[in-house]
Amino acid sequence: METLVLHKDKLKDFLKALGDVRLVAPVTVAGKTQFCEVADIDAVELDLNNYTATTKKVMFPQTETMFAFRSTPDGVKVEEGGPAPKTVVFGIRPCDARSFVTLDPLFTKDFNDPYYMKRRAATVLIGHACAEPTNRCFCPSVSGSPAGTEGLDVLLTDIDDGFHVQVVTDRGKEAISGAKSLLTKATEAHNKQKQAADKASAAKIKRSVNLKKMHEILPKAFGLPEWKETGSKCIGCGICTYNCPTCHCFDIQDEGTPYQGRRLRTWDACMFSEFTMHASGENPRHDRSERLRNRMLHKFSYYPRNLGFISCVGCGRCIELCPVNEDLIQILNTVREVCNE
Amino acid sequence: MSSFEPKIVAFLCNWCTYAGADLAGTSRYQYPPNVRVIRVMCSSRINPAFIINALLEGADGVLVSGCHPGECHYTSGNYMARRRLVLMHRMLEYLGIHPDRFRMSWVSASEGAKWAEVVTEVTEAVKVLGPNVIKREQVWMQQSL
Amino acid sequence: MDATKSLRAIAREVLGREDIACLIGYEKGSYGFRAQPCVLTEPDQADRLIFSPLCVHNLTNYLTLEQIGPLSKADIGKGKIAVVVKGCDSRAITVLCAENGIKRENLYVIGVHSPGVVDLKKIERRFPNAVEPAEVSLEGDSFTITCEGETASVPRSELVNAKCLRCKNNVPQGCDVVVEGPEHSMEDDFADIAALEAKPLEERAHMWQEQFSSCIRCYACRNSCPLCYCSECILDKLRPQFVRRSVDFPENLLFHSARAFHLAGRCIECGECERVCPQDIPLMVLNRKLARDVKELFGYEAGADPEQKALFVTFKPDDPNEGIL
Ligand code: SF4
Ligand code: SF4
Ligand code: SF4
Ligand code: SF4
Ligand code: SF4
Ligand code: FES
Repeated sequence: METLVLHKDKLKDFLKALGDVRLVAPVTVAGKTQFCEVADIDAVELDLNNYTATTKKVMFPQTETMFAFRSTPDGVKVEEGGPAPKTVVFGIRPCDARSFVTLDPLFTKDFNDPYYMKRRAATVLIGHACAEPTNRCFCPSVSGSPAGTEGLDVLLTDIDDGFHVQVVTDRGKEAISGAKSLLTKATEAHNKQKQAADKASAAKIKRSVNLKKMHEILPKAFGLPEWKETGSKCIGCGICTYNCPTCHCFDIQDEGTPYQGRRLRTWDACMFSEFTMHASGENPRHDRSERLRNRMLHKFSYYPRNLGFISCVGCGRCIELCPVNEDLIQILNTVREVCNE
Repeated sequence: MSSFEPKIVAFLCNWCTYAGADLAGTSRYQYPPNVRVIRVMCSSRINPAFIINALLEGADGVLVSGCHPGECHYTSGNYMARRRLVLMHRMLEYLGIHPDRFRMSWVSASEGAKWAEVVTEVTEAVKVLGPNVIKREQVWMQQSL
Repeated sequence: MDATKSLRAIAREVLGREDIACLIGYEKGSYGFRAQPCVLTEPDQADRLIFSPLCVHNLTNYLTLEQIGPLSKADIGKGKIAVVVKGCDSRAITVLCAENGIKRENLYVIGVHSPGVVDLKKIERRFPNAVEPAEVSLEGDSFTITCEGETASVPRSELVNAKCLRCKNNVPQGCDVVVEGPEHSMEDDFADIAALEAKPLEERAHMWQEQFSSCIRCYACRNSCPLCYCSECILDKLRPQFVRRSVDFPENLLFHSARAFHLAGRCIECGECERVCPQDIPLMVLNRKLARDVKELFGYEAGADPEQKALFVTFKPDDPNEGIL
């Protein structure tokens, strides 16, 4: 599709030209980068490379109201949510955008999940290629790239005077149509700069993990004693899963007053002991090492076997944020080594 | 003066302040009708979370009242409560909740007049502060990010 | 380096003993400035142990968990657990034992005089993107840092964790064996807390509103705390449900006040909660406020004395009546 150029002075105008949509972009609140609904375009942060703030909440909010209920003299009234607001996410990283591609089959295969789907359909993703991948990034190991376009509608890449704008989908084209006058056609020189930028950032990725046949190796490794040693370091805090763009487990609860309330879907995670707790009090995954093993198997074996994607986009959040240095690269490498494959 | 009438949730111990409040009523002491009384067996029954919960559920002020030190029906419950709640009071202020929104008092079964005074003082102070703004929004259908 | 050597020697001896089931210590991490906890069971694993300013974790957190390394619930208690502690960490054991969370006779406590641990966020900002495991040691007043083949020296005060700058005592208490090193003890004047208190109420309200609103309620602060070990936490309870599952400012305020308050007079200021928080919420600014007030109001300090009873199960008839009508 088209390749365009946006001068860096025109960025704010570009954001304004997106029109009457809900703009979600990284802003700094209380000293930290957060992905938020943007009220003030001047607050949008463009030095984006190192944020760990979650972006999955755009499609899969931490708490989502499924419906509200209230008891009335004529019986219980149920109110369902309206359509999702038209949204543009600006500045999402390629790995995070790709996470939605891996989530799509989960929310559509057996059952069309209306909550996820309505947000997905109403959202345009304008990505920003990573110029400075960090020591936690390993997207190439899971077939991603710091300049990948999978899942994105538009991709911006830093070049000399501003941004190289790659229009990936028709939705993307339409979303930025209001900004036409701010964009110029990319020249050969611009495209070269973009290629050089992609190459330079790919070269900065230092960590990798060999995932060849991992979906077959892991089930064989299920009974290994090594899990106990590695997995028991875990303190079950759930940081890895809450912050992971591809983790999607949820719980459903009601809350409210005696006469009205709502049914909520909230994030949950297999790293919590309550996740598998039965009403009887029995917990089939009672040890933390079993929970950690489940996280590895779910991401790298069950999910790819059932839904065709590795449930990891290599963003490295779980590695960077884990308080006890549970590092999936190290864990998977050990598994491969021990299994001699 | 504004016409704002605050809601004050008062947790009263069964043996002293609740009886004191009863006495205030039978003795026909006048005091503002803003308190909603919740009777508990002892001031030490008050989990500090109740206080914040009351504020979140819409109270503009919270009052905990029990027997005078040394006079708790269960000997030392109010001493335990005092440790917790004095500290809680300081913490709430630190978190930005005005100290007048949460008060404690000792009112015995015979102090009907004191009860009327306490309620008046607490209510007037909360009136000056205006409505509490950290309430839970009891809005059920909402789109959140 | 010397601490590492002594530690290994102790571990070799201890792991050879009949009565010791396992040893919780630190080993080299997987990349950059990370070290990781490890649980050893055999004497020949002793050489995996390290001790350096990268050993930031409070390992006593593991003592109350339902699985310790290879030991599942049923095996815990069959032998002693050896654990490596710094000064601050050792006070967690004091509190745990005093409130009967664990039994001292089931432990073998190996204390290390820590020269101070680094603030991982600071060091990773200073030396970004290190992949090869880096090394850090204290020489004089500076950290010597070997990272990606280069060596640098940075003043300790620039990279050390804030808690170490006000460390009451780096000499671990109540240990079975101690790896000695430089000793230090500082007075904590709580100046940061007083400064925040001096600000107008509205400003504080705004600050906490912003901070608490960004909390994602993963409860990692709870799970990383050695003293948060209730088998049923008020935050998970559904009947009654104290805190709703909605993640917004009012619920988060309730959660944060409950967490902090449950640690009043118990928090030993190891700083783990704040270190692990993925949202960088300044939890110590709240914990320390309570620590300061508990000291000021009741003359009580968490973990200071193994004989002292828990703050809220005791009282003095002349405790202050502050603010009571
Ligand atoms: S598993 Fe870890 S690296 Fe993979 S997508 Fe999730 S957070 Fe990122
Ligand atoms: S790793 Fe765990 S939390 Fe994440 S999607 Fe899989 S089962 Fe769910
Ligand atoms: S972040 Fe680390 S410690 Fe926390 S649950 Fe995940 S693996 Fe366990
Ligand atoms: S660790 Fe941080 S984000 Fe998680 S619950 Fe605690 S304060 Fe909130
Ligand atoms: S509250 Fe934080 S600083 Fe205090 S003991 Fe727990 S983890 Fe350590
Ligand atoms: S019974 Fe009144 S305070 Fe304990």
